[in-house]
Amino acid sequence: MNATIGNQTAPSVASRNRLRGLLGGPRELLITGGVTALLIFAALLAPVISPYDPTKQLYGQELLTPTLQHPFGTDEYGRDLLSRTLYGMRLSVLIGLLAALVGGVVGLVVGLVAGYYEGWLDDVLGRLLDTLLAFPALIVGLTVAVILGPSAFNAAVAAAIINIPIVARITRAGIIGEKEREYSQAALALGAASGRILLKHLLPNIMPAVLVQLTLTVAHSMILEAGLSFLGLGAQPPEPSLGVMLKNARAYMRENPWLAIVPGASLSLLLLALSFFADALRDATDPRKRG
Amino acid sequence: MTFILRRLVQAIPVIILASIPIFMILHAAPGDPALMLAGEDASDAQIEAVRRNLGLDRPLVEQYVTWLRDLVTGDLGRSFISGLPVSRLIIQRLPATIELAVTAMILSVLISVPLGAWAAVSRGKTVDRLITVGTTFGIAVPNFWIAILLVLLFGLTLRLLPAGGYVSILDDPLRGFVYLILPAGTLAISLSANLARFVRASMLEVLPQDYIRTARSKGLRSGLVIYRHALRNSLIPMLTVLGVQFGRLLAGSIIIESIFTWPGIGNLMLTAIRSRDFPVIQGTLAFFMLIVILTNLFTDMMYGAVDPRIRLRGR
Repeated sequence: MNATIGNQTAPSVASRNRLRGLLGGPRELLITGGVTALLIFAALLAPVISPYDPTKQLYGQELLTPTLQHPFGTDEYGRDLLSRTLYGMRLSVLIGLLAALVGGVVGLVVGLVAGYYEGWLDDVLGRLLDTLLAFPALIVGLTVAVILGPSAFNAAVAAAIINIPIVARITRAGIIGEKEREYSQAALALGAASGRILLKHLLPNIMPAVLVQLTLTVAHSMILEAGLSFLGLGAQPPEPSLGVMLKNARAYMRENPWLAIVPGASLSLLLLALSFFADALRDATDPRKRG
Repeated sequence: MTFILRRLVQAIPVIILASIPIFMILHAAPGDPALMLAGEDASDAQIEAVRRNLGLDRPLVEQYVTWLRDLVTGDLGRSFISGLPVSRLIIQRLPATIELAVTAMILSVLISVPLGAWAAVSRGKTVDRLITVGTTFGIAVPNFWIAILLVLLFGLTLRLLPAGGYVSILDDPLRGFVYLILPAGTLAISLSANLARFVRASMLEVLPQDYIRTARSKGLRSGLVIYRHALRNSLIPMLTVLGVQFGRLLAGSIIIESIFTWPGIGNLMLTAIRSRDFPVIQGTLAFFMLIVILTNLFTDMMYGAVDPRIRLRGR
């Protein structure tokens, strides 16, 4: 991780404002992006790279500490911890991406509409978004789990609901800011239709900020799923979820502390990678926000 | 005064909007509450009687209005399991949750303010980078995993601190504090990381201001300038952040209470969810909702009181 952190060299100045310019952009972005992509691919490839079936119980091999056959040891049912962790990361990634995608698309549309048309529509939407935003994610997640029932998918639904106002707010603020700028006024004066101005001119300019937020949104969705699963209100056993694994580990961590360390460390690694990546992305796309 | 009134009026639709999903829990969640309460062996007539008793046979809108009216007057119904009033259950659990949240809040301010200020005055140096990286860890790493690690280290391996349990700090201050260290410390880690970032950013805005340069040029000692002029002014916006973070802190305490078997409202809610005790679920959710809305309202007002420009702008 350290390699991705300490290098605060000045990024190249050229075309920093556009996403296009990022490929040749700052080094931190490449490193953090590379690590994040690697972790996500490893997680998605769990069925290919896992040494064992994550739900297969090996009798007589319960609670093993790390061996050559089982690099992280086994759990209380004799299941391979490495395989379960990889599958757990896969579930985290899938839920994070799903919730960010759904919440992101809906949030983007709501934010565009509210920001562009303002007036009463903006007032109503704004009030709704404020209400949703006021609630801590876990409270929303618990409410959804009670109404829809506990499952990994419903945790993703809850995360998507939470993501909507977050993305919508940032989109709305961006649109309101961009709308007043000369290029947008010029397009309007030239008689461009509002839909065209919105999609062709305004949207590309607010996308960097939205992408930064979406990256964080993936991480937040993962935390919510893991938290709900940890409380027994998300993914249900025997589905390998990092939250469920941590929950079960508590009873056996005296015998095998790896059960508590490995799933949590893997989740944290994913979250840290996303978080550093979001920071690098923000620094690269918005020089004003650089601390 | 009009500012406060307007904020109060604006809070009403928010409360109504937020209360609808909580009300719907009883109706949308799988399972018939009347059947649950009457028991498996109950006859149809008995179930029907329970349903009438709960008011479940009335139109939905009427039920909602009744429920909201009761909620406003503090009547949260009775637990399906114990039969006790939900409001009494919440009041019983309130001290433990307040103890935890307030201790965590105090700890985080004590940690974050010096840390954030230190990072700001040494901007770009190694200290600043270390603190920034540290806060990223504090924010990104889930608090329930931190809690587990702390239990593993201090509770099970070193045996220095209890791995769970609760003693009221009012009954026995010393033992109460020992039980508080791990749960409050866990909550304080992520909160202070968030706050430290904020203090740093806020200080960085204040430090280049003219009055700081004036204070420096008057020959005031650097430490005094930072403390009396820069830090004080940069802490004003921290009020709002504290308000928003308090809601998050309460939500975070739900998981932490469950890990440390802390007998607070979070644990009350989780137990109720597991046993499908709907009135308690609704009551605790409504409680959290109200606290979040009230702290937001309160910080808005505080902010307005501290900074007159806020009051004028919203007209």
